[in-house]
Amino acid sequence: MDNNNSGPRVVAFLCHWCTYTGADLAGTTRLEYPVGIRIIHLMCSGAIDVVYVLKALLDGADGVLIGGCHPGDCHYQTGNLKARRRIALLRNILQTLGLEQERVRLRWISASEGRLFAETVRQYNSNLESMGKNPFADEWDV
Amino acid sequence: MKTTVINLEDKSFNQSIQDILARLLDSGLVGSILLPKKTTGGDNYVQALVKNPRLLADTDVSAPVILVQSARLISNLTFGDPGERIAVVVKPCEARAVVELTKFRQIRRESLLIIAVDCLGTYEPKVFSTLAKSGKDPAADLRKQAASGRCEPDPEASFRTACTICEHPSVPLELVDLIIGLWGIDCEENIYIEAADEVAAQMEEKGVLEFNGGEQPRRSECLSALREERVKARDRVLGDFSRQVSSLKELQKLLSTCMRCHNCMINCPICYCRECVFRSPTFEHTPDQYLGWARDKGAIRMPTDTMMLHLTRLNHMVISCVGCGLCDTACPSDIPVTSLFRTVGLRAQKMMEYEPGRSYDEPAPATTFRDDELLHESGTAN
Repeated sequence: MDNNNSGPRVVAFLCHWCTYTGADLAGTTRLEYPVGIRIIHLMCSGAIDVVYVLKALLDGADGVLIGGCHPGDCHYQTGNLKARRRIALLRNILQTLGLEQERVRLRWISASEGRLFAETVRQYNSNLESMGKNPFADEWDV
Repeated sequence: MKTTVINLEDKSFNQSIQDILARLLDSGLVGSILLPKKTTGGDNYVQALVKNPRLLADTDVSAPVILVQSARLISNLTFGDPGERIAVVVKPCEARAVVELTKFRQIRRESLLIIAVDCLGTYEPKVFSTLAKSGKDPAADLRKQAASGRCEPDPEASFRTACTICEHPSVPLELVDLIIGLWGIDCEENIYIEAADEVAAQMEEKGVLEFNGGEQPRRSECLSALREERVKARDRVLGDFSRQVSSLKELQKLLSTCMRCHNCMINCPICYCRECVFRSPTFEHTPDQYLGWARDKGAIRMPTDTMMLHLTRLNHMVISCVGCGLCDTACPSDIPVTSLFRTVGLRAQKMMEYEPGRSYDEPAPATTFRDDELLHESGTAN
């Protein structure tokens, strides 16, 4: 990832039908949001495996954002609700071990909510700024 | 439920059980039996799949040692249709792992006749060998104490940590077909067996066993006292662990001697995936990737992805972790993997309102959801 930008670095996994399209809308409507976000396109938030999230965190990403359709709107009916269980479990485990669960965030953003996407990234960015650098970023022994 | 108390008269505990199991094979109710049998070396027990009743010699259903989790073996035996019913003699933790693997469709419950034996505690295989080599019979020594409701390990040894904090010294009959009770029973004099009605009827019809309705009320008293004690021990041990391992630094210390051999994973009954990401080339990176990470971080631990392994495994299977402790047994570096998994598991299971091995009917949490749940926990509400 580009290291020249000094702000928080976020890896975002966005579902094709809602949040990715919402992010696209944010772009086409020329809304500004922090540049430290790197978007990975998934067909469904239900396709997220914690391996992806953990790899990003352990390699030093400051935050991982998972974006899916609002409950009830999933293109595959219930992928987002399965993702919610997985992310809740991941955050629960991180918390038990004293790792920072707030670095993982799940959000429902629809294809028409470009504004919400930009706002979400801005807010997340500012939360991560106040949290400081991900401690894993400087850890060789993981 | 049907029960029976068999007076041993002049036979030994093992001889009597072996006779029953031989009749079970001869009756055709089952085609084979999986149970612990003394190894050729004579100093340990390993599961054997027995078809010839003569080879039931040297088997001991109460052997206080687990080399391999039976649930794994049962999965091998019934992943496809075995074409016959197989009797499997299991400890409570193994029976509970069978429940989990049945939900994951790795075990065909209908192919099994599950015989659960009360667990009086188990030793690490190395410890068991040492005791056996010094001429002791650890199984018999524990059975002698069972009537008192309290089993102390041999003075020169200790039980596996997992057993000292295990809240399940027995399993309810709903999960299995037959139970050989040991707790609260004078095993020098009697054998206590309970069975599901249908199984009991089949056994009576085939002349395997008469159910005389004999009862051992001491057993349930002993079990409830024991459970209470174990829950306290569990909360104490895991509470200490949790306070100690509560930061990245502490987690690093805990895993510092991990050699990424994957033994914990290979021996875990719940890690059943045939296409595990850690048995794939996913984490065999290219040279430029290793060098890139080393450049970014200044240095990297080799082999890489050690903490990845444990955190991934926690996420993938801790909800179904039955706490059998085989990961501790398998770890060549003596990392307290079981304490880690039980600590994390208890909290995660509580969140999902799930107890592994409790029931065949409760769906595994990863396979289901409710419409309006975990809003705060998943971070969608804040």
